[in-house]
Amino acid sequence: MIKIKNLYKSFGDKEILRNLNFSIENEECVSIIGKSGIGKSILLKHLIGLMEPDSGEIHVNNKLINNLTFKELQKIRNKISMVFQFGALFDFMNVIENVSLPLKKLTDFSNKEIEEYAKKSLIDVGLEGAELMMPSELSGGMKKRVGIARAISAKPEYILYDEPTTGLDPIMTHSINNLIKKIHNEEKLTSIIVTHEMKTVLNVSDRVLFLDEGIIKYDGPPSKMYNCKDKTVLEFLEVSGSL
Amino acid sequence: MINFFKYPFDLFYSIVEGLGKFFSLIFFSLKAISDWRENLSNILDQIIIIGLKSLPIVIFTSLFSGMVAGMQATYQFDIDTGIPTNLLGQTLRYLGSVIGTSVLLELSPMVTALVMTGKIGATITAEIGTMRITEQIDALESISFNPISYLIMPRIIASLIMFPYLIIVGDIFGLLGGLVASTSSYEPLTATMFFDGLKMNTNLVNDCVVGVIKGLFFGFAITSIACYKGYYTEGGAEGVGKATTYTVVASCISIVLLDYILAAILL
Repeated sequence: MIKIKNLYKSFGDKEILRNLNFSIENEECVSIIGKSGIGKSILLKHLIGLMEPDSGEIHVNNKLINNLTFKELQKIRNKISMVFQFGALFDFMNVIENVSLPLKKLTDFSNKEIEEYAKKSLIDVGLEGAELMMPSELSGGMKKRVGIARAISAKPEYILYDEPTTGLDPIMTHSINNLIKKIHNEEKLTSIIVTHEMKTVLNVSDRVLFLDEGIIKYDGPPSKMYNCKDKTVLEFLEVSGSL
Repeated sequence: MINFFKYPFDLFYSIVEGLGKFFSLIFFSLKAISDWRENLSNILDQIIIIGLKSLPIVIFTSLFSGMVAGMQATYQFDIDTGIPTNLLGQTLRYLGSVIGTSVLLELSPMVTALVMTGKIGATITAEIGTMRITEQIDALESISFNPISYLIMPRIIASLIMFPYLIIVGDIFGLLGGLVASTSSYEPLTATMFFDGLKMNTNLVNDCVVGVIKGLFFGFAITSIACYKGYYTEGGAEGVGKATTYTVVASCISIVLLDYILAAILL
């Protein structure tokens, strides 16, 4: 379970997150939506300890993770994986090396086991045969798939997706959405997705958090978003063609 | 008007902040040396990149800078000494000593460091800076890697190991260039005289050691500035370009400053 209490973050005079409070239950699939530059990705980076809040608390599995040392944070990060917006693949490694890296770091598997697990992760995301390709040879959709394969390879409890469908065509978007759904259901993960895509929200998630001006303006199931009274939420739905 | 008064304070604050970040990064990089076993393959990769792959350019630049030194020394000797012919042979031997000292103390360490600033400093900043803006460093951290141990410490260790070695290679080829150019451009000077002159210099080994010590400091300065600018790159592709330029300029200034300080201390 992830629990956020009074999370506050600012950069200079700009307040990004203003005393956020919410919790995410195990095996829930939650989408965080909102306008660009509103702090969704920043919120995600707080959950994995890549950023520290100015104040407030972040609890993962009932353990407070802010202000932990690097080694203490490592134990938490073993349970959380993140899929970055543009894949963030290591460009000096090929696909199989990228996917194997978390296994090498986080498990005691032999080299043979690591290779088997990495290949299985690639099969799960539909990329068998791409093991020896370099990131520069991959399309945008393939990069995202490799990013997902790398994230699931070490069997995390939580998976965080930062705009997994940004920059993809509708067919690829549909395919990535199905992949996220499949992984969520099969691996029994807790998934948190930062997105702009209402299709992702509607097809994949159980719950939506709408972030605006540093606070959560809607927290509930996707289907009930349309009944929300908040102007910004309704404007977002209207502009995204969902209303 | 407000900005006019605010500017010096902002500048002072950014300098202090930058120095704080730089020294803290260096401190954690040196602390990360204890993780060397885990990162041995990265250290070896960097040894190949910084050391072995830089050999051709170091050989080329040292050879030609030695040749220029040789040619200039004989030119000066030729035009303004006015030494009587019966003493010429004796005096010519000093040429080997003069050229040798210039190469070992100054030319080889300085030219190697400046060339390595362009080749290695710029590459390190561009690599690490690109990893920063494409979130690869965040991705490393998210899978429990310490990016300082994984990316920065191996580069600093490799440069500390390989710079002295590159300086020694530069010394050898610088002296060779000096020998070839001076003997071919000034007929009375022979290779035997040149080597006699080198042997006359009783500080030859000491000069070589001073050059190698300079190389160690230059290597550390170049790599640490390059890693720092890469690690804290922001602002997309433009940011990487700016950081790379800063690395080259700051490294060149540091080399010249360090050269003077080390010469004052060691000579």
